[in-house]
Amino acid sequence: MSILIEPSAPVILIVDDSPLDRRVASSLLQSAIGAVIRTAANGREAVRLVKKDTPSLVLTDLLMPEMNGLELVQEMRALHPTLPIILMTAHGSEELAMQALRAGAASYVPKALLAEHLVLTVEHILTSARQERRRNRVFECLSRYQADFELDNDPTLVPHIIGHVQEKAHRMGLCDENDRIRLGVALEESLLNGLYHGNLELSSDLRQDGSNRFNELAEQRRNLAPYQDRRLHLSVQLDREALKFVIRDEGPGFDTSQVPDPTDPENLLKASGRGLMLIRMFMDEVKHNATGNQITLIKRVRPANY
Amino acid sequence: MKEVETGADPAGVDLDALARRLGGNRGLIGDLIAIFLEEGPKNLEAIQTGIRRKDSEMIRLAGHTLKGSLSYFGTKQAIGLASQIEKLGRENEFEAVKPFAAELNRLIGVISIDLQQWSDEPIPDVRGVSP
Repeated sequence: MSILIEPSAPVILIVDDSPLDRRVASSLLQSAIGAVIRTAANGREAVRLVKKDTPSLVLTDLLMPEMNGLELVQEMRALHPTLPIILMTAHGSEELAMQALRAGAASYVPKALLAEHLVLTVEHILTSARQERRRNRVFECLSRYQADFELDNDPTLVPHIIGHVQEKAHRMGLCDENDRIRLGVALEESLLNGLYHGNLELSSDLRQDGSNRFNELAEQRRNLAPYQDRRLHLSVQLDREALKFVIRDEGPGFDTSQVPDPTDPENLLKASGRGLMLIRMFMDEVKHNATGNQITLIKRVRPANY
Repeated sequence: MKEVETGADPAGVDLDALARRLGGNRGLIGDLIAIFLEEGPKNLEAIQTGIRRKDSEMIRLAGHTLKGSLSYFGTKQAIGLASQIEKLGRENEFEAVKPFAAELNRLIGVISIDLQQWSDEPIPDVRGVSP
């Protein structure tokens, strides 16, 4: 007799060294949501199966021989960062469970409550994962994204704006994980440079003396004319050709001829100009305007990125 | 239908509780009994091997697995012993684990006879309990 499998039936990999727990979890998920079940007796076997055929979700025990549940979560995060993993917890595995949740597991179900909670938890996580995949597909269809930000001189906003831009670029498939990180570094250096040295006119030398003078003065000037009225402008344009960022402050600018030469390794050893060095190394093109209060960063999209 | 009372059974097997826990899925209960009858002795053997080899991880894992398996059948005394073996294994107490392993071995023998009988008889009826 042949069994017809619905194409939409979720494939769930159950990882547990206890055949009883595997049998119970399989039975619950097969009967309630028609899941196609694969099983593995430990993390190592699970990794082999996932490499051959990626499931919709992994449901794993924690205490297992060869590779435990925490190690499995860590391995899966590297192999398939978006593959949801649910833990099955029992007395004696609480600490491992906490670490696995911190490492990226999506949820957990106590083994003693499998019958009550497993199906609902799996359904909830599968729905979330499906929605996430749809959102990603929508972003992959987005061919151009443009936005303009106008910030006051609050440095705490900078990481959030960068995170927003990084996520857009990553979801649009315009940068891989490594470029995403390097993009974050370049944007942070550029925005904080414009904020502190441009708008607030603070010298880097204030940071060198080991005192807190730099931060104290920054805080004062944020509420003092003429600095307090100055704004930091960020224009973002993301498309399949390039990622382009224009950052402009309202300060007096600086002498751009003093920018360190990024091709000279000697400059890597100098304390000053480190930010601009990083920006130039991580971006394909960096331009200043004549006044020195605006910087344009361009990162070309490599074809393999989308 | 045979009534099962925890405590009345010397091994403490409570299939009523298991039937309630699994929504009265008779086929599944039968499968679990069959799996336990096959796997229980393997885990007991793993504990003995772990003691001989002074392999604390082997003792700990086998104790942990037995604890989980026994919890399906509500056998509190045996669960306590498996839990103690898991703890002593973790603490490298190879001598101290021996009497617990011997007692668990005896108790699982009794439980297995009970479960064998139950698998030959009707599983408790728990109609009305939603799956």
